[in-house]
Amino acid sequence: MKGSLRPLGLSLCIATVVLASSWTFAQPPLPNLAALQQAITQADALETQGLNLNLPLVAEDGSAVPLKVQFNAPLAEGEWITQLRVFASGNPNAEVIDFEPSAAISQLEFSSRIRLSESQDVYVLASSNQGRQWLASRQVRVTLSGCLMSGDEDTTQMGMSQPRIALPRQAQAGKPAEIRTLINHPMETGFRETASGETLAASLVDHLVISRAGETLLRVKFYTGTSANPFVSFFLDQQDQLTFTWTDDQGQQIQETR
Amino acid sequence: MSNSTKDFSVSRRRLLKGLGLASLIPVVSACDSKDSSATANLSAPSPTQAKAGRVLVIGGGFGGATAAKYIKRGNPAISVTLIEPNSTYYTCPFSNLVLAGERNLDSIGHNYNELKEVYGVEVIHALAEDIDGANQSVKLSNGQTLNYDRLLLSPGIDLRWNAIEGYDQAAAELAPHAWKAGEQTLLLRRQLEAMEDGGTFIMSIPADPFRCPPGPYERASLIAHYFKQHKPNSKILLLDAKDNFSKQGLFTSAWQELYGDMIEWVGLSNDGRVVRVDAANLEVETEFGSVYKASVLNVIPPQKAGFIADRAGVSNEGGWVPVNANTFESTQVQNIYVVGDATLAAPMPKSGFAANSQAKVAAAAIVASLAGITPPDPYWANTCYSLLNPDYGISVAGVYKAEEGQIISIPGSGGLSASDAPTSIRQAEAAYAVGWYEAITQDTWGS
Ligand SMILES: Cc1cc2nc3c(=O)[nH]c(=O)nc-3n(C[C@H](O)[C@H](O)[C@H](O)COP(=O)(O)OP(=O)(O)OC[C@H]3O[C@@H](n4cnc5c(N)ncnc54)[C@H](O)[C@@H]3O)c2cc1C
Repeated sequence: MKGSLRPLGLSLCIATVVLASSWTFAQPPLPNLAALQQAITQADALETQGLNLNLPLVAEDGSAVPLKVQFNAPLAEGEWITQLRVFASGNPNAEVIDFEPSAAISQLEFSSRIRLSESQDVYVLASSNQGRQWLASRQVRVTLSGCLMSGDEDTTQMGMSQPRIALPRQAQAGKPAEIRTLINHPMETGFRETASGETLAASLVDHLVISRAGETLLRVKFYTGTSANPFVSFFLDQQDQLTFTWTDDQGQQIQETR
Repeated sequence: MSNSTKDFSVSRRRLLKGLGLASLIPVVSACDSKDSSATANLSAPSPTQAKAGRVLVIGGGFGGATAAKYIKRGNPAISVTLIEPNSTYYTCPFSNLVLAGERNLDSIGHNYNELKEVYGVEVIHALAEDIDGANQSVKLSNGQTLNYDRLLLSPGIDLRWNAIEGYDQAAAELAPHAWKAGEQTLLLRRQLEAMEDGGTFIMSIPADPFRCPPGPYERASLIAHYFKQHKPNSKILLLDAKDNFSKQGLFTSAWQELYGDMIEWVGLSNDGRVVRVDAANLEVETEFGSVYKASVLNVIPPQKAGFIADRAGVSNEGGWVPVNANTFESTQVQNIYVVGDATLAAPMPKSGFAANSQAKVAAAAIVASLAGITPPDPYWANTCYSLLNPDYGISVAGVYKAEEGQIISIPGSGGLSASDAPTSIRQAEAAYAVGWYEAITQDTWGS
């Protein structure tokens, strides 16, 4: 690998993929990382400390790999994290899921279930409102376990249905507690073919917004890399009077208030 | 081995000819021939055992008992000591038949007589409590400390108590897991027998990886078979932390065919993941707050490698043991080999067949390394049979090799029972399952 890395704390695993001087990606070509590359605005100032990407080392089912992203680096006065974007270098489309918290979220810990089409490196890029960025990555080996061969076809279900929300059972006021959401939707990628060779049209839940009294607390953007029936978990200091709005790629919405 | 299995006995030769064991034939013989080629190189007799080396094997289950035997077969001069607390090992395979009242527990019990008497393995009934990898020694519950040149661990799984809120050892006495065969199997059987017709049997099933991926679904099938005959108004509810499961299409269509709507399966995306157990009230709560009450509750909790793997320093942050694919030696501690459910061996599943197959590879690697030679290239096989009733079998099979330090499924190998097979094939596969059981327990414990 050529090109020298600038000194700013890039971890080794990233260094093997990224050429710092030009910010093109090293051999073998990883065209998918173009999206990640574009999202990196200040390559020479990328930080790594305090951003954690949690994924199993080995995933036996690439269609729903549990993902957890945590951020706990010290931030400046008035600085907050605006985006945590997840990319999968080996998927047909590298974009997986974006979490866009507001300044009101104090505990930055987000979970979902993602698709990994093969063994690969997964990245998360965090950005703050002051233009700072953090990058973390993790290698996941995807194997279909021998006994897991299910041998059946996915049935095609259409549209969004059955929104589910779980609020903490006994939360203490002002202490962050976990909220879980899920909506049924096939998250059809547009890459799949039927037995007769027809390509199934893409159909996705586009995003989920959690708000209180008209103020957005968290927006989550879904992509083809998000598993069917998108699941999201996050932490809020206060868990009352929340509105959850899911919007699909046709503009249809489902709204729930708790 | 007790008498009752004799009813099922099939001669090994006939068995290997059985179509369903087609995958067993090349594999066993491949392993055998590899072993014997290794043996051939090694058979220059060592004057003393001390010179040939000392191997300790921890765990007398599928992996450990097989390894002890095949190390001795590879080189009888090696001193082999097996450490296992129980004098009878009850197999999880076919324990679902015990739950259904189709077999008794004795019929799945095996002992260590063959290892002791035929192969000269020393067997110590104690628990290994600690391992010092640097000094190559093992501390036992009976106070002994033993040294080794090579150590092989096949400790199976430990259950992750409290990974599901409220599910601990005490809760398992009320809501059994029965994921280790023996007392737990009998407890769940007694509860099923005592249940009134019209009751609800609930099973909580974990996410991957866990011991025996098709096991929960076979269990549901065989309990449905029992209910159908004795408690036909009863229901079975499966709450699953996954959206896909092993042989899913085959299971769900057979459930329809054999049991109508008795079995209901709720997957992860329909709020199937259990997060809390109230064992005293036989209640479970799922991720999104649904509460279900059971008449009999079976909780299969998340799992990890047996605790001794942590003591040996061979497990990783996920609780499983990474191994060198070619030898099954730990990637973290030298001279410690680990096989079976405790390992990260995907795409091989956590099955008894896989543990047996891995143990032969590790045994050959240990024999070779003590002789200072390179071990043969490994191949492994696995077939998981599942019974949907005692006369209805299905299977999934795979053959594996090591490539670039990883285990891979050999392209084009293995396969799954056809979805449109006639009854005669299902019957034949049920018979092959019995033949498989006879063959593997014979190979592992000689009984
Ligand atoms: C319901 C059910 C059905 C199944 N059906 C099948 C099937 O049809 N086919 C199949 O191939 N597999 C099946 N399995 C899976 C199979 O049981 C396991 O994969 C297999 O037992 C793994 O072997 P092992 O050697 O890794 O562990 P085990 O067989 O569990 O053996 C571990 C042994 O180590 C001992 N031990 C643990 N810790 C220590 C210590 N510190 N010191 C000393 N000894 C110790 C234990 O007492 C135990 O005897 C089934 C499992 C279940 C639960």
